[in-house]
Amino acid sequence: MLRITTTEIENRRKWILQGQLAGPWVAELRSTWLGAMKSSKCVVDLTGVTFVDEAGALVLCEMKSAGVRFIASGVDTKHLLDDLKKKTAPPLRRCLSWLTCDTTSGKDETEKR
Amino acid sequence: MGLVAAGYGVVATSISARYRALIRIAQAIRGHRNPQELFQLLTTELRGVLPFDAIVQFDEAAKKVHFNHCEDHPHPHPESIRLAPEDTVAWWVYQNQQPMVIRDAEGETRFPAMMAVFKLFGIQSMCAVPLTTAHRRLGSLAIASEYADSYSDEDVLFFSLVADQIALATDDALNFEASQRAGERLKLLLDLSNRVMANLELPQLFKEISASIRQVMQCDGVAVILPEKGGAEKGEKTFRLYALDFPESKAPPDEMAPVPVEGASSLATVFQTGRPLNLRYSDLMDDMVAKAEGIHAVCHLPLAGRNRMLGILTLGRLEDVPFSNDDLEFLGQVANQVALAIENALAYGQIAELKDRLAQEKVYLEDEIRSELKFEEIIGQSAALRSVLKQIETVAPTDSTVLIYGDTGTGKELVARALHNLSSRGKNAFVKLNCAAIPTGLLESELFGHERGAFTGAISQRIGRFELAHNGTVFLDEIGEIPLELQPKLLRVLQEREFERLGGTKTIRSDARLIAATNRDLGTMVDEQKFRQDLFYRLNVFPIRVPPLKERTEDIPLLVRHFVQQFSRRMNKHIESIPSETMKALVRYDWPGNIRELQNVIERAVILSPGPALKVSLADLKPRVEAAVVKRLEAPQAVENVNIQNVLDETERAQILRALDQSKGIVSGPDGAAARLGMKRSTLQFRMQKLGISVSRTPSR
Repeated sequence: MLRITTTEIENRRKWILQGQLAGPWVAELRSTWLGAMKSSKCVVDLTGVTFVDEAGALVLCEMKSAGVRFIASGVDTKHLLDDLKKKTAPPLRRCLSWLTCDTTSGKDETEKR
Repeated sequence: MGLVAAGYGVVATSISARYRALIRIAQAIRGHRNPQELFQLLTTELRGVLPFDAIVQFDEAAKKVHFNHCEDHPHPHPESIRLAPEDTVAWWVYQNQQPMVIRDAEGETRFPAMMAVFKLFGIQSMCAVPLTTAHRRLGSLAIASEYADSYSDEDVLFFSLVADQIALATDDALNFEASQRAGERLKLLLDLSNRVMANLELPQLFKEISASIRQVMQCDGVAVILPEKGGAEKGEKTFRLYALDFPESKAPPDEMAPVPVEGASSLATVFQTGRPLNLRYSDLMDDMVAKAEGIHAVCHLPLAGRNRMLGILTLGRLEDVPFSNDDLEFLGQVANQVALAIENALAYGQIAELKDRLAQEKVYLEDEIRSELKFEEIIGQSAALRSVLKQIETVAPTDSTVLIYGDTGTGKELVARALHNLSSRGKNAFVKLNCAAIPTGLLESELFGHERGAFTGAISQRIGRFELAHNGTVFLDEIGEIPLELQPKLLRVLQEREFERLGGTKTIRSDARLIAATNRDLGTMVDEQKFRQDLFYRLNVFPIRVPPLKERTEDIPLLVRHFVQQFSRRMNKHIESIPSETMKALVRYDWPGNIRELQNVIERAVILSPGPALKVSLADLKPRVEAAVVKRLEAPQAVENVNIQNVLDETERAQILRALDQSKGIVSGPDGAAARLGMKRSTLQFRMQKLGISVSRTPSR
């Protein structure tokens, strides 16, 4: 699961994500982010994120394009954020828990990307 | 022809007039089914042909005497007269089934209580006849006059004829009423059965059925009282009002209000004895609720389950009409239906509760399994991995059997789980069995289950993996280890989807999809007759080969970073970088243990890393790396083409020829070739023969 916490510090909104950014929580993050006022002064803290799947990476890419800054720790997450700039096809990142017969979003989005 | 009877005006006393009146009465009473209306009609009609001032009826069904004065005399109201039936002439006539005439009340000594009433109303004479048909006693009917000696024998005869007609009509009305009531009751029972079957929500069910019961049973209130859940365990019995249908209640209690049930109360008695209790007005004198509500008759019925008391069904009437034995018998059937509904609903509630608990436990256990040192992520960017995932996505939605090939540690189980999750069976069980990990003797029992007593030690029945995985997936790892004698049974499950438990005769069907995995070459095993050919073909419907890590080296950096992050999080260490030399060494390494080995190496490295940079013991990887490099650099072709046995044979041959040359062809003895080679003469001779070396001539090269 994923927990999304938002705080407002000095006119800057900080989003703290904890858990897996994968499966159904990708859509949850996307809708929460789209529902909130898009602000370039937004900071997303990914230090509590344990796994990011392909669809999750795509949302992070959108956020990065919108000017969002990230705080991350761990070699994998940092590398993933670096890779967001690249134009090459992203690597496969799937989690068995969210791999179901009606999960095609990740695949489709990856292909579109 | 009319006759003026004393004080009555014209009363038709001729035979023809009386019989015309009789026919009129007969016609009139046929049109009335209500006994009360009939009684009123009779009073009017009879007054034209018989002289009387009052009419008395004894109703056998109600065990009551009705006294009705015809004129508005300044007498006490007849309803205020309360006479015990036994004290009346009407009772005597009913008991003896004979007419009785009291010609002058002044001289009558047999019925003092009734004569006192007569005196009160100024009654002087009376004629009473039984109301009886051929098969039923209905009561009796009497007419009374304020004049003495008002009734002749002819009057008595005529009155008897009228009574016969009335008896027939009353009987007919009662029969009609009874059949209507029976129909309504049957309808109620059917309605109850239908509701009990269709509704498992008790409060709603009680609300619906209590209204129906009240209507059919002609009562004013119906209540269902159940003991509170868990009260018995605490050693106390608290009862609650689960449903109440009492529209005319003066102080309706709240739903689920506690019901006081003391030790000797009627409710407690019914609950303890399991017998119904029929309470009349006189029994309810001490009942505060009955008194306050004006209830005159109450009936408590036990709601008995299969082996316990479930509660009490209570009915009450405001009218002083006690519940009959017929009512009790019918209500007993109603109570059985209600008890069935309660038992079903309680069982349903328990099942739902257990189901919820199991679902929660399942989620918890799945989470716990996941949180252990098991990874369930598929990560990589190699074409080989993409190809495997493509194959998984292709075959998963089908129900086909899949055979996963791959070296140890390549992630065959992960592939099997992905196949299961991506299939329509994903929400059902994924049951795994490692065939190599189970002793051969127990494998059949593990796969197909066993009946109690199937073998020594089978102390209880056991469900096999195929049965557990019904509508789900069975994953058989190390399928090559299944013994030959068990393979036909496995083949049958795959083909027919049916099997018998060990020691059982009942054929069980299981719709489980099979995914098998092996790191052995099943084709070769078939050639060596170690694996059945038919089973092999049945398994090999859709083979998926999971590539070893050395075939997808581009995935290694991704996997390394993933494992490093996961392990450092679990061990609360802050590894923030991986030196490029370390990464290169990890990529170069062969990884014979594949991802499992990589995972273990990274775990050890995270433990051993003192700072923010990952430190891998390169010594563990170096020898193999060097050997591989040397092999590739020095003789890449030779390694591939030369047969090692030929090399060995040639070396041995050269050594033997050299020794023979030095010993001048002598094989045995201290200077012989055998001694020079450090072996027995017979061994050397055997080796020479095998290699085609002869001592009598120059050895062939």
